[in-house]
Amino acid sequence: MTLEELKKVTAVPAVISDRDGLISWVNASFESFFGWKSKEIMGRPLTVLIPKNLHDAHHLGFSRFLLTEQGTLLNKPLKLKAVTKAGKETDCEHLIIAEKQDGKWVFGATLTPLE
Amino acid sequence: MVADLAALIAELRSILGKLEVALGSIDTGVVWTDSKGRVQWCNRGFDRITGRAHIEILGIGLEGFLPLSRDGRLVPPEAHPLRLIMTTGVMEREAYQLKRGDEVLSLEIEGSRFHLSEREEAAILLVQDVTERARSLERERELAQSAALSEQKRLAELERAQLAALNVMEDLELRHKEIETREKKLQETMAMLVQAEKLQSVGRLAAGVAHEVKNPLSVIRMGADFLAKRIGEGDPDARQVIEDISDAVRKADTVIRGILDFSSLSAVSLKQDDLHAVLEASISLVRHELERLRVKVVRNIAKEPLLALMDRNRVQHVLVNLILNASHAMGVGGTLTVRAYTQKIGNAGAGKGRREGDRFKAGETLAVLEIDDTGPGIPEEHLSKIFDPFFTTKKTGQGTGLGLSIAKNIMDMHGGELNISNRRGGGVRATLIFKT
Repeated sequence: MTLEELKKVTAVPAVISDRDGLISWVNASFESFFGWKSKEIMGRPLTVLIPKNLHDAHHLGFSRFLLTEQGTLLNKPLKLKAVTKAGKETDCEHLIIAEKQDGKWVFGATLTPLE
Repeated sequence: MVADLAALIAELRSILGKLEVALGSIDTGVVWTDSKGRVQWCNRGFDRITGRAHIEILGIGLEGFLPLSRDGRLVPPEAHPLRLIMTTGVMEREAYQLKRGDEVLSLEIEGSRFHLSEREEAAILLVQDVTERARSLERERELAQSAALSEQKRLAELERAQLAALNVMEDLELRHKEIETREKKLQETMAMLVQAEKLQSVGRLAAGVAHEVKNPLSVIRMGADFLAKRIGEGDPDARQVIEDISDAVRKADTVIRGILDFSSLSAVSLKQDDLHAVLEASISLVRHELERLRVKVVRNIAKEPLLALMDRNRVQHVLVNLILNASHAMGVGGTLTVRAYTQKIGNAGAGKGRREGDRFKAGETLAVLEIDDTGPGIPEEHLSKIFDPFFTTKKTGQGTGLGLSIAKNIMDMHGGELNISNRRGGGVRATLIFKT
């Protein structure tokens, strides 16, 4: 899946962030499920969607990818918890992709709720 | 300002990335948890040990995810390394086992607790997979054990071989002793045969001389008797000379009769007879001499007859000889103790045993007669000669030295024995053994 294809996803929540891990786009399904309005979440770090106890792993893994450009979690479904605006942790199937645009990495993901 | 912050974030990201890469590249598993024991991060080393991708582990309670055991027993929650670290603050390296699928990994785990903030704590654990090293050590231990067992087995075999060799040596020693005994016996027998041959030669020579001397002696005796009658009560000096001649002739006659007795011992006529009766008859024959010497005779003899194979007259000759010898040895006032009994031969003994050629056989019943005196005994140096013909300790003219030789020959012809030995309490014991 490419970022272009991701942007066309409507059935499940989808999110895109820049190389700094700041959210740059979400779809309507995302807004509906996670309770965030697009304007509210734009520019916020991805960690708002990640349970607190996974922040360290996220930062380290994210930083390693930027350094090595070798991903271990990309393009495969991962069962992970995600956090809604209300703070509820919920199991989602994550499918994470990464693409370089104008020499900079851009990340996208679909977060399919499992509950 | 924003640009500076972005640059700072980028720098921090770079540092974090490097740390992640560095920690991920080491073999030792590194995992840290929050204060509740949930996995916050782990490196690839830990992934390799657990066989799970770190993304699957994140957020999971480490105690449940990492069930450890020690010495085959599951470690209880309160003794789990994570719990120990959170409780005590630090844990030195300890050995554990982790079951992963069908295999059991040997792990060495150490760790420490650290404070993230005033209220927040975390634990970091270093987990080293030492399975290969443990297996290698186990293999070395098994090899050493196997080598020790082999050595033990080899030593045991060596010990068995030594034991077998010792047994063989003991057996050889026994055989050697047996051969020595047989050789000694053979030498003794040969010496006896030589001695017997010598005695026979002496006997034949003496018998020849005796025959030749006997007739001239008779002529001398008759001549002396004739002259004694002619002189009558006349010339006392001449009469004394004739009496001296007659006395010398009587002594010479005694010697000659002894020699002839000795040389004429060729056969005995054996039949069962009462040894008690023969003994009493012999004592009766020498009664006057016993009375003269005031010898007390003590009899330890049963009333019923003691039958033995014997030539009565010959045995009587032997007994008279022995009783007189004993009486003369004791002098005046001695005690003669006679004892007669039967004895069944056991498995072994001097002259009586189980070997072919032994005089007596095991299980054979013998009649035994002992004559003890209270005399001074026989000097040790004489004991080996007392049966030699003409050996005597008596003064010249008082004994021929043939009595014991003849007695022994008679007992030999009976298939019996005559033994003479000193008694412990003093005196001499003559032991006669007869077949029954």
